[in-house]
Amino acid sequence: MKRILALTALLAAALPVAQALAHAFLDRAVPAVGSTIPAVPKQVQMFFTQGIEPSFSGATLTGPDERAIATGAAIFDPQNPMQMVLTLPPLAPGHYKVHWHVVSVDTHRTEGSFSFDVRP
Amino acid sequence: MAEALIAIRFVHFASAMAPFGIGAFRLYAFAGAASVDGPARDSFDALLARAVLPTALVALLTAVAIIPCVAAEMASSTALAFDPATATAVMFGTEFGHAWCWHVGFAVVLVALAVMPRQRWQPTAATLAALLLLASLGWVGHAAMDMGGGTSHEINQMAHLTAAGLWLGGLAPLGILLRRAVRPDGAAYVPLARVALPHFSQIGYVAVTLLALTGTVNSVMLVGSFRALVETPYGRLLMVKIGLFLIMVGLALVNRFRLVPRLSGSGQAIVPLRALYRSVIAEQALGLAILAVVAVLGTWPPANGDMAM
Repeated sequence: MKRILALTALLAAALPVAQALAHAFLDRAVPAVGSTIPAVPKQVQMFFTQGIEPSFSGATLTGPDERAIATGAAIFDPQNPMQMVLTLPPLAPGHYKVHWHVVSVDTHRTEGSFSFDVRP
Repeated sequence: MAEALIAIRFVHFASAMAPFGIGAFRLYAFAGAASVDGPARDSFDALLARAVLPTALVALLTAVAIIPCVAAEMASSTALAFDPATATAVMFGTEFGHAWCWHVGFAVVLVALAVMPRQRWQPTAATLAALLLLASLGWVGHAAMDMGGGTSHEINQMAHLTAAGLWLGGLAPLGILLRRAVRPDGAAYVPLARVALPHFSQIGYVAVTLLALTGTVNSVMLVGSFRALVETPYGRLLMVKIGLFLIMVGLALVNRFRLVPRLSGSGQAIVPLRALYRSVIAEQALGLAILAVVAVLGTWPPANGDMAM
């Protein structure tokens, strides 16, 4: 009995194998999270830690003064289920915040936000 | 809605394991033992055959009841739980939905097999449908992620579920048989118990080994490190599950090496049978506790998800 437990613990400790992340979280974004960019971005690309469900995922954008900014609907790539793209209208310089919500393929919903600055 | 989902998941897991455990028990418990043929065996087998329908119906109802819970979670709105458009999007627009269509389909097939007139092939077919019903649970949830493990993680989870169904699900018919055998008028069932117990033990060895192996793989994939096992809520609850499993294995080993050998001796069988019956009841309770833990675990972010936040 103890041997099984010890073995389990040993394996769990010793094998940092390719782990699968359950529940999708934002892995990275372009423009990068918290970055200041000189060029006005045409879109925001978001990469998540696992596959997401297009029917239940999306994102919104707020600009300076936390005003909501209309964007295109979120675009999903069937070839890359871990990615979501938000197309943007022409942005004026300022501070912007992206609010994302996704449902991962294991049915769990997660949400979060990140910001970036446009300063030509 | 989250509490409802956990409760329904618990009932669903139990009712999805029972038909497979019962069906498999009917196939292996008295295999090759013509000596126990007779009215007692027929009566016991008929009872098990009748038990498939109610458990399959509960599995079907809870499988359907999970859909609005998942819809509410995905849409992040309790108001949309019973919204037809949301349900359609869940069932036909998500990976969960694709898998769940099959899962519900297997439950329907099992119910149909349980209500149809008895045929010679019916027990085998019902057991196969019950196996598909149980194993298809491995296509959803934390095992169904498409990175880091993918298909191998799903196969691992299907093996884990099958082994759990053999052992936990098999404790149900074993308990029924032992209860009959320890009754004052149950002498006719004692030979049945004597034949079934070693067969159940053999299946148990395989099931426990498979559970430990596949459980370890699953833990490594979902928790990843010993630190996460000890320090995250998910890891700690997983340790509770492992602890309950080890207590069950301990009870099973006492049964196998202390009580079952006493049955084959020339002495009174009724004393070890009573002890075995109590032990099997305790194992059933532990098994249900494990399913309750699993019902919660599946709704929590796994430990390495916590780390990623």
